[in-house]
Amino acid sequence: MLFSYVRQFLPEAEAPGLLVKIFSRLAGRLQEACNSTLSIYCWLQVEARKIILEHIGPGPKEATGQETDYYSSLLQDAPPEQQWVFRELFIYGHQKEDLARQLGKDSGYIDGLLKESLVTIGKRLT
Amino acid sequence: MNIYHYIDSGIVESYVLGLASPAEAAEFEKFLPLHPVLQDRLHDLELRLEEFALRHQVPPPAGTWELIEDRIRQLPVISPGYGQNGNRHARKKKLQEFIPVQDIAPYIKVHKYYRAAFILFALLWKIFLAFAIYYYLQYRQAEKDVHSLQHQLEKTGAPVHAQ
Repeated sequence: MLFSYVRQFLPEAEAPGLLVKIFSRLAGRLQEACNSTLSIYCWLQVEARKIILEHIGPGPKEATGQETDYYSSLLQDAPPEQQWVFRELFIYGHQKEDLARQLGKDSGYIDGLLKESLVTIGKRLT
Repeated sequence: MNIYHYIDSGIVESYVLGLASPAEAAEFEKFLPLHPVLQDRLHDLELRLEEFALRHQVPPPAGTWELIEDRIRQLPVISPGYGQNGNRHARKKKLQEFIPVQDIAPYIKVHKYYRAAFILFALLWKIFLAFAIYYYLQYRQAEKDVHSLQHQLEKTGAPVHAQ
């Protein structure tokens, strides 16, 4: 299950290696997963994303060809700006302030777009 | 605060996907035990995300799980620390969170010196028992000898008494 989640962030060749790294880094933190307010699978996704973003590092990112898959696919009917904000924040781990600067808007505008994209994802999952 | 407006703000999705800021996450965790409707929404979303993951799962390339198993086997058995910083204080604090469980094994546990004391006691008890049997037999033998001597005296002493 986690492999397809990892695939949305990385090129196909990198994903298996990073999956190994994720499991080896999270294996010693199972107690933390059990104590979390999230379910174990959701905790695993959140922690895996942190490791993936750490692996990718800051700066401009190359397209993996998988960005529109998985959670982003739930936004296919949403306005392009919402899709772009969700992708930049969730997939690439960029900061809201950086996106606001790129658009020439304030971070409240980005918050609004993110909120709308998250509500759409929540509804599409139903 | 209206909890429904709070839920409609997309905070649950943001928290579950790991997009909430530390302040937003702390606020969410503070509200969670107080609002059953928030708990329901969280559990519902978690369930739907898991269903989504199952529907969209792609198996990893062959040999990936063996690599994961090998890597996990190489890990040390004991984690260096429980705290985020791995410091001793955080670890101690974490250990204090465990509930003390009473051992209900059917055996009693004693100090190792009790073993030597018990062996010594058993040896002394046997030595005293052997002495007691020996002296009892000696006493019985001496009593027999006394009786036989008295008997002989009575036999030999009768004419003396007659004079």
